[in-house]
Amino acid sequence: MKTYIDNEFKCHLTDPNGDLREVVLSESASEFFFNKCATFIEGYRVKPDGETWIREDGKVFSGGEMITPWKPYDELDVAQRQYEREKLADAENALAIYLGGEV
Amino acid sequence: MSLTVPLYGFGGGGASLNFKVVGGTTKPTNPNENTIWVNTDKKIASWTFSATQPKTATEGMVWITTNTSSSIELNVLKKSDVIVNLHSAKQYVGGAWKLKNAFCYQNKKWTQFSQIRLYYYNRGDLCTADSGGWGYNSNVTFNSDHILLTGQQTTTRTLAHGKTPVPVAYKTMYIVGEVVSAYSGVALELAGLCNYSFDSTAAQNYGTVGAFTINIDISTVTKLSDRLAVVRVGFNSTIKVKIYEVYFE
Repeated sequence: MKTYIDNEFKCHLTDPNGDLREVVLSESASEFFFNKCATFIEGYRVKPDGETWIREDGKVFSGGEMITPWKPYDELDVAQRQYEREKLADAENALAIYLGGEV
Repeated sequence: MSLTVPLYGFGGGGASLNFKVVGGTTKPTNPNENTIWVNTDKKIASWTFSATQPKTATEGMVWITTNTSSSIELNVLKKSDVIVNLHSAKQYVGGAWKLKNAFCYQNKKWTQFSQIRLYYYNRGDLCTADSGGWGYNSNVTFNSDHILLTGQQTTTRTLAHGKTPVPVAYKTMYIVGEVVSAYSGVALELAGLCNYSFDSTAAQNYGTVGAFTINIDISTVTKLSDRLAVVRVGFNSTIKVKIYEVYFE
């Protein structure tokens, strides 16, 4: 999965205008985003190690790789749970079809 | 040039002063330049600017601490340049100095120069009244002035966590520590906030050997069940990280 970030370190899964920066996530960041839906991933900010982000109230964040939501986490959690329910429903449907004897 | 001078006053301001000190719990509307707002529900009986603690204090007195530099430079007099750097604001309440949130209005905006800090761990102090105590798994030791996390050669990250969720009013998490040894640039891993299943909600990874102070934006995680404070390290027994402080602003 390719991940891009904009100039505010917000995540994007596509770069239609070619103006984003592709970012290489650490193993733990990749683990963090594994099996997450697009809405969840794109609601996050990934600040790479050694870079600096300044929050709108002036607080400076530097240090290591920071992975934090820029959208309210509640919204992202709702989207992710819906995604997981849909995936589960798909799996159950596929199983029902298989057990129903269709090959 | 800036200098630290003791200034004393009563009430909001004065004819020759270039600032005003106000209290209350609501940010003033239509403030003048150099208005200092101390967020307090206690009446401000008097105020003082000083780098050192006042020798005498009366109930309600506000002490604006000054320093050699800060984010707020204030020219305190109307007719000559006497610059002070505002560092923090404390109020004398019930026989003790209490740190307060405080702001200064300059150039048409408010800038916070004093912020109440909430500790969950402070150099040996578990801060149980606020943190609820600390839970932990294997390879965690609580020492006289730090928590030591040593990595494991398994699929379980060594971790310690505060038991009480972090109050929503706090927007930034700080971790002060030392990476004693890392493995392939990995040491502190997914440290920050998590839910009760230990799934990260806001986190930082840090792997540079040596002392560190890192901060994590936690402002958009607003449900208490997603706000457990956690420090943890990566999967390797070489990894050792000391945690000296965990606090919030």
